[in-house]
Amino acid sequence: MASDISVFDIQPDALRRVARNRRSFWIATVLFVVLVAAAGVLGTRAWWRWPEVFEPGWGGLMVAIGPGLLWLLLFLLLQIKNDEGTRRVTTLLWLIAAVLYVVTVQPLLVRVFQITTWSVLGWWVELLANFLIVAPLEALLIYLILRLGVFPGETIQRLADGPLFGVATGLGVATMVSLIAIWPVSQFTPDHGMAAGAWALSYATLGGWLGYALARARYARAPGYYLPIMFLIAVSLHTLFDALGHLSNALAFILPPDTGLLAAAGLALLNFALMAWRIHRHNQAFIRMAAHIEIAQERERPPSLLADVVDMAQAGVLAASQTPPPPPPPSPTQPPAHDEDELASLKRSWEALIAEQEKGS
Amino acid sequence: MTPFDGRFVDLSAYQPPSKWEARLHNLLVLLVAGMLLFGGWMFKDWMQHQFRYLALDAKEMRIPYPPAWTLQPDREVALRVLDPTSPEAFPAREEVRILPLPTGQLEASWPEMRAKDLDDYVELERRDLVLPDGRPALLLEYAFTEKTPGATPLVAVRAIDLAFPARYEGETRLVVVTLAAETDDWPRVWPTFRRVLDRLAATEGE
Repeated sequence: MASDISVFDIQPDALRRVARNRRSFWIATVLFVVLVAAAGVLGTRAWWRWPEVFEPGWGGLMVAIGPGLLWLLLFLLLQIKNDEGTRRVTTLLWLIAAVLYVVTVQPLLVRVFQITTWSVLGWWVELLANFLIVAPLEALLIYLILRLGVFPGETIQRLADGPLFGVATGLGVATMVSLIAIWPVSQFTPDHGMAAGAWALSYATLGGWLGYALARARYARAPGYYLPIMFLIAVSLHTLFDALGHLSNALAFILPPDTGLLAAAGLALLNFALMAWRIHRHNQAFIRMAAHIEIAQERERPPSLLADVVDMAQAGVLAASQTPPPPPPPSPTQPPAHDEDELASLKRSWEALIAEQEKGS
Repeated sequence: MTPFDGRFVDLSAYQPPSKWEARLHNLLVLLVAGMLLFGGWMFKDWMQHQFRYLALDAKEMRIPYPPAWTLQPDREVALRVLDPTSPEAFPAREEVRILPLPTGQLEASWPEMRAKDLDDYVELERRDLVLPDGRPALLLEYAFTEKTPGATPLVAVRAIDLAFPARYEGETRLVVVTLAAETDDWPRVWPTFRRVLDRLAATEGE
């Protein structure tokens, strides 16, 4: 494989550009996970002191869209560099994913698969329904939004942009999932808030891995099974988060009520740490490869007289521009030499040289 | 000649995939998603054909009802299960009534009783059917209005009754299976009702 590609086909600078990290994304994501977990724990403990059932209202709306919006605001605030394009794309992805979820996946789940009518029979039915229907549909929506919307173009500039756009898309979906689940309930409790937080963490992780996989496959050649396997991993993660929620509900009589949310936060942090490590390794590999390519290009560059001439000419021009020569003093006795005369003498001497060479041969 | 350190560097790994490779990757992802969803569709189909049953008597047919529906105890009926996903004003429901056998013809007496009990009763269809063991049954489709305590004071309800004689606690009684839903909600729950009727396997009489 290595033989059919020349070192001149790859630009080292392009590799170095791809290998830049995006610190604002990682800081925003870690802050998001910590804040969602802290809000869930503190909110639940405060509620148990003064238990009261609320109408969903605006509070429910804020709890439903809060986690997704929190991450978006954190990222937009931390992305202080002049990178308007990335901020705009991230916000657009969040919104587009939310809208597309409502018009595509939600009707498919409710009308075609009628999931609400049969999936409430037991935890194993819910988990299987999640693995076979809910997770594939939602992961496919995130995959298609990223694959068709962002990854073919030049919007994505770095490997770390993959998880960034993936998390934005995942959180757009999570916001709508929470809103649809929480908005119609007649009585709002902290359980709904913790479910919204756990969903946000789950979809952020799922979107992050899908975005990472797509970015990895865009910047480096991946085997054919790579994206399908990453898709399966994302679907399994979705189900794993769901299973954690079920397990914490089942063990509610011995565990604190916020265990599910804390477990989801722990799993999300673990996943993001793994993702950051993978991206760091790839970035290092890109930088090493850029250095290799530069060295190889220097070695394999053919000797070119023209290049030397160009270098000399550039050096001359540079020197001339730095120290301009003084103008020749005007001489009244000697007329200025014309360019035509110089050319004519050069032509004559050239013809004489050729004639001498022909005579000699 | 390839430099020594160049031998260990696979340049092709740092080339983006070609257009056809990217398409193949997409196709494989779609294939995996499609296989999962196909499995999900089969699972959904299997789950929708799972029922719980109300037993009437030894060696007597059992009345199926959707397992996800919630039981609502009521003295007037032997069984009432409600669809938890229905609108709150009048949730879709299945009810089983066990009544004394009517003295007259079933196809005349049961519609009369319904007309007496329900407000604004309108009969839509009446058919004589036969159960798998040859017993006669009556299928009655009708509509009526129901007063509800919620925000909507009056809702239009559509219902189907399957009435047939059956043994219950050692005696022959009239068993009536009622499937009812708001008229607006009817298209959504009709597939579930049809599965219940299919399970009861009543066919057209000769």
